[in-house]
Amino acid sequence: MSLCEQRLQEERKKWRKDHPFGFYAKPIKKTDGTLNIRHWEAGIPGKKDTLWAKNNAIYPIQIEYPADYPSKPPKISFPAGFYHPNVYPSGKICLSILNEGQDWKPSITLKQIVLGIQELLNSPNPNSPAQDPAYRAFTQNKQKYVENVEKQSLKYSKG
Amino acid sequence: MISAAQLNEISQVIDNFYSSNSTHDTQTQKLFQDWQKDDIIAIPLAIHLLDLQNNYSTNCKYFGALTFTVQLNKYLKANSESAVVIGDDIEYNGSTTPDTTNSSTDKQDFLVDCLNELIFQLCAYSITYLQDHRKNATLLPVINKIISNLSIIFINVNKECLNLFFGGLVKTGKIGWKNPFNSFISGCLILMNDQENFLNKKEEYKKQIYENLNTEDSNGNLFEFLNISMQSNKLILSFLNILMEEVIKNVESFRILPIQLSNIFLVIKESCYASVLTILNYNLQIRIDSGKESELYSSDDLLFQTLLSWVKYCQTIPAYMTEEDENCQQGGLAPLIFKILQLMTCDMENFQYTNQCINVFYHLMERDSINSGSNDSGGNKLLDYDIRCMIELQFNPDTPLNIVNPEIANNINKTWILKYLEYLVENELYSDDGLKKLSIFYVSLLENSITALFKKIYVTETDKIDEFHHTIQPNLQFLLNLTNFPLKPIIQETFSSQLTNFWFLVVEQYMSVPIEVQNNNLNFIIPFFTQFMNIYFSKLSLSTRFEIVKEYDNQEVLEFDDFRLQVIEFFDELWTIMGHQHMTFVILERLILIDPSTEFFELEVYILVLNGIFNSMKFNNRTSNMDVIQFLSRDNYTIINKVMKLLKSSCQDVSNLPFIKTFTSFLKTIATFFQRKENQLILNHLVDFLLNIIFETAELPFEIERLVISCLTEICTTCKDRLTSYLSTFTKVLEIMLQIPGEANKTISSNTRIRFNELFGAITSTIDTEALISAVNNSNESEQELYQQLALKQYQHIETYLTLVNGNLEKLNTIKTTIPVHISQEYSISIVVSIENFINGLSKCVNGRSDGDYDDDDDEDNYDDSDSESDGGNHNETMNDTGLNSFSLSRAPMDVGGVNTDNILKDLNNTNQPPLSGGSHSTGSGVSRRTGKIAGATQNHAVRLNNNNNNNIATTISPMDLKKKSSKFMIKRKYNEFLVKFYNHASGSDGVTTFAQQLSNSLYHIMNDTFNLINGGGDNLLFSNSRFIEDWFSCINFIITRNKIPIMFSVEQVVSLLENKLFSSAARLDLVFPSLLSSLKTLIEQRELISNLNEFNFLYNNFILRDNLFENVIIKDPELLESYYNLLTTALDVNPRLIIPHNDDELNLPNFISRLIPESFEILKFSNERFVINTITKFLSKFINNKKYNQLQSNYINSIFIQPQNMISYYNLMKLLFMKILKSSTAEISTLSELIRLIFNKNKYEYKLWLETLLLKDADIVACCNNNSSMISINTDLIQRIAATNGNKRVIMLINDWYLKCINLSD
Repeated sequence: MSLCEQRLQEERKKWRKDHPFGFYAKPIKKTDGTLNIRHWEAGIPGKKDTLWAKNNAIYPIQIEYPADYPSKPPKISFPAGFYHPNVYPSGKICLSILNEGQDWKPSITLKQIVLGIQELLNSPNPNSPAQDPAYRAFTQNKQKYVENVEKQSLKYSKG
Repeated sequence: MISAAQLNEISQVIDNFYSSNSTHDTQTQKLFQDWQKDDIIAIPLAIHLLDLQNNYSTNCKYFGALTFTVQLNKYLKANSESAVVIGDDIEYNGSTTPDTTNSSTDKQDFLVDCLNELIFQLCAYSITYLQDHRKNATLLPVINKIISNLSIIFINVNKECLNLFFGGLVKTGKIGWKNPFNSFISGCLILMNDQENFLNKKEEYKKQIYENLNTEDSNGNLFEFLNISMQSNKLILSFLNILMEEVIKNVESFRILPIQLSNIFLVIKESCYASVLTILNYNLQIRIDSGKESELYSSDDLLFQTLLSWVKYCQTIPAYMTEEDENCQQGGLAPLIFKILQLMTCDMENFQYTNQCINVFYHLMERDSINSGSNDSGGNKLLDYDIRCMIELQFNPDTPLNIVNPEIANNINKTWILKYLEYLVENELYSDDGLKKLSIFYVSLLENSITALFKKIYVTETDKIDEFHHTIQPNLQFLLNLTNFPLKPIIQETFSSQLTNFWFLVVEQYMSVPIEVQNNNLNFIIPFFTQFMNIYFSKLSLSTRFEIVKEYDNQEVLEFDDFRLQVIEFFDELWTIMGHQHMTFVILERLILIDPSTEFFELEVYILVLNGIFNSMKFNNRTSNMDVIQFLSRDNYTIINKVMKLLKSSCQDVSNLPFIKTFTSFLKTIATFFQRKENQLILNHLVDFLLNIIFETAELPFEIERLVISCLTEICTTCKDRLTSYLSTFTKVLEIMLQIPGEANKTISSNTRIRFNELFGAITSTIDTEALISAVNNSNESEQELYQQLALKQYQHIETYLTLVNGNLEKLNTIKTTIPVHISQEYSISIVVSIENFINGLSKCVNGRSDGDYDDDDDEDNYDDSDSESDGGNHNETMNDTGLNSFSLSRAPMDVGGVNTDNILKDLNNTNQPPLSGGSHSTGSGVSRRTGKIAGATQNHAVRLNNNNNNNIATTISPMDLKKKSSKFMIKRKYNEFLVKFYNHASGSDGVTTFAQQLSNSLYHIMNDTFNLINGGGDNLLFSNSRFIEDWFSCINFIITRNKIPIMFSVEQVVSLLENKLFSSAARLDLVFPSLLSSLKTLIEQRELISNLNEFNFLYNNFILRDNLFENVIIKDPELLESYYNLLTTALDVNPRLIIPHNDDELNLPNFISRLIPESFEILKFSNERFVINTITKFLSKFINNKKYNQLQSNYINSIFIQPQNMISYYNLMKLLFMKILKSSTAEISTLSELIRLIFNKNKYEYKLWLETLLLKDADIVACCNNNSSMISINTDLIQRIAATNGNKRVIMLINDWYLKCINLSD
């Protein structure tokens, strides 16, 4: 088993043992029923009492672990077109802990990542815009921003 | 000095501040801080306040002790060489070597003075407290604060091994303060001998106590002191506890260097260790001996807190000890473990100390140190292997660990844990004090033995199988039994949730062993996990959730929901062992037998688990086991009917949402099941049923409505082929859905309306393949006539749809004054989005077929071998169970295009197959070849997919099936080809034109009416206004991008809609413009719509230049400017011919370049907006350098820019870019530099000269560089370096470096 796979097995155990409520994360299954340990799907609920928690939304992310993980960070993305100032149109998340050149450290766990993303949802970084519509609305038209986020939460509502 | 009057005043301020009616004002707090930090008065004040003879209040005394703390912090911080010693707000400063300078001497003097005073005060206070502990109980907080101060001194004296007895001399060997307990006890014993007078002889006793500071306890003083009373014992325990806490605090906050910590640890090890063990053992022993003696209760918490502090201290040491030192620490905790185990088990009636002892073990186990470096043969730093086995055996009597020392096993009462569990359950001790703590402890405990467990599971030799049976089985059974109490998870027991991870690991491990080993153990594993499932089924019940919602906090609800998710995931994993046979079928069997009226909670759990399994195996007709399919059909679809029955009854109340989630999710998961031909009736029934819920449930909560419509949409879009006969019914439903709020009997949410439109679109576009084939094969009419009928029939539904939409919009127009603006507006928005969704549903399906795509749905044919009509009557009977009588939406008879399809295709083999005509991809011979090839390959072979556990996903494809499939496929394809013609030629129908026209009118109506409404609604509607615009344009863009049948808009129609109707509407253009630009961009991206300079000119003149829109609107708004330049860049990218003349003829056509480029230069020059700068730069880059240019276009561009003396020239653009760089932030530099590089690249012979002129001679640039002489050399350097690049990518880096140098100069 490669270092990457070992670490991911460990991450999986850690996650099962200790993960924040309302989140989920698991490796996806291949068509033959076996697990693809390097490709996970996860869900991030909006932080309690925030705009992002409306409609009990759980925002899906895809996690791709490179072969040289944990030396390199995983690639994490929301669905394409996700509305958030720090999410690229492709869905890629602009977050320093996910950037090898910035704050990524091999010791960062999945739990820290998803909590970091949850934090980012409600606290966008206007200094690092990744898409225009959400960035402009966030900086110039809060009401529009709020309504669009609410609209999006409906899309990802889990009842 | 402070006068007596001042002291009285101070004490009064303190008392007032801490009195119950104080406001605790910040001014007084500031005053306190000033006193406590004052170099002159603080210590004398503290001593005075602490003096027991002065009879100040406890608050004043405490203030005195606190003042010492502040002073200690202040002095230590000021004198710290290596790190800030105490201050919470400052961290280790990185220095490594403590030195022995004067500051150290000052510090030592200060520490000695404080120690001298405080140790006396501690003894004095303690003796006073012991004299009458009830009366003087208030002194305890002061005593603890003094102990805390002494602990700080202990740490700081010993970290540098200060010699406390030779003032001025430091580092004279490892002296320090050896044993504070002995110092304290010896001081107390000295004062005890003169209890009446010691306060009067303070200085004399101070000296005496200090001289005895490092005296060893050779006379058993410690034991004597402990035995004086419970209070003396309590004092010494407090000292130990506070000292350990202070040390740990220092370690954790990195206030002390590792080498200094090592000094402290060594002092504790060499001088204090025996005292500590004596104190702790004494306290444990008296509890073992005394049973229920109540006097001890008061110090129980303190004892266990002290034990935890000591455990934590012992766990902290290894990281900071040298190898040599570590050896001295061997067995640091071992002697205590025996005593703790003894105490834990000594009371088998009330288990008085058990929970607290478990808490100590929990802390012991949860730290890695117990595992690190250890293995089954020992080697642990804190606990040796035997002791670990003892703990393990106590809690896990069937542990897989190898017990090498038989005495251990003999000394452990293996029934104790069961008795304790019974005790906890009987007494309902569920919380942290009981079962919960125990379950958390087990998680850590099992981690210790899990490796041993797995080793034994992984027994590859079959002759060792007995080991599995004798050790693993009882152990697993024991652990499962921990969850098998009839208690509710989360709120009563947490074993089921805490141990889920353990079971995951067990299953994973089991599945990793060779198949033959697995098979050897199946006789145990299958019944074991069957038992497991039964236990967990009851744990998952929503009845627990309802109870939690009623009586507990949201946190517990979240925990329970999370528990259910975890277990579902686990069951998915467990399926790999159990397979369909032992899991899926068992659940399905139970579902068939279950009574939904009484066992609804059980039913929900089974459906939940089943849904998890189906989801995981991606349930569909192709991969699902046939037995599973048959189970779902059994007894007139009893399982599905039960689900529907419960779903209906749940919809009354929003608190039932979890039920509804489970049931709707399940129905969505098995949607493809309803797609099967033989399941037509249950599909109809289900659709009726879901519609019934939406329309007939009074005040259906929004959350429920959303789940139900989502379920309906999934079912209908999946089974669209089976629902074409439903269209007339759905049209009626659509009428209700589209009704204007206030007019309708039933309030329909926007979400439901929108979703329903999508499914209506999907079904409208779908053909009933069976009916079509039947018609083609059985009708007397010609094939083309049949297609015509069918296409017209389809088109009628589209027409009906638009008529409905338009009718309602017209009605809205007439009554809009009578309904609130916001309702009318929301309705309009939802109609726009509905139309978009309708088109989405419509176009996806029709175009998918017109392309001749192979449809997944066709695969259902592989299974279509049952007689679907044999039990139709019974279906109706079942349907009545769900009470559909009140709302009849029963389907119309099955017909398509007026063709009766009740007689399903009998034999496609007997090839009445229509001749295959036209089209390169659909010749009869081609199909025959293909069919023959597939048939040949599969002839006489059954394809059987088999997984490891013989849980079959079996399917058999016969040549006959393949032939049927091919025929069906071909007929579908032919019909789609017909549809393309039908919609493309007005001769086939006036469909396209009419449809586009109608849709265009509908959209215009909505736009105009809504804007009128908005304009009358005031500014407060501004946002909804913009959202509406976005949705409206989104619909337009959608139409443009899906410009395929049956929505074929000509570009004239789109432009007319945008240009004429938009501009003649009441729309405010500044609000519309962003979206309009986006639509224009979409138009351009659709290459076939706008294709030449003339057409683009038309767009540009009519949308950009019209009514001075550019000057009045676009240029003033950075966002619009950005969109505008994006539009131009897209045009250049998609087809440069739209902007740049493409041939000689076009050179003479009017174009807007002469205006566009100077304008762009100007905007770039003055814009400071990052996005705008980037966008214009990108546009200019594309304009100058475009790989899609032909020779004529390249020449044309060059002719514009090549003359340096012209205002519009490469030179001036380069100058503008350099000046922009000097004034910009780093974010834009790379884009600007890239454009400079392109200019260099295009002008390789000229650029060096231009650069020299610009950077060394140009007056504007020189002014920009502030005439700085260094700039000349920097610029010269840049020119030389760039000249060497030949215009490659390095230019960007060089300009960036140049920019940084310029910035540094200006700094």
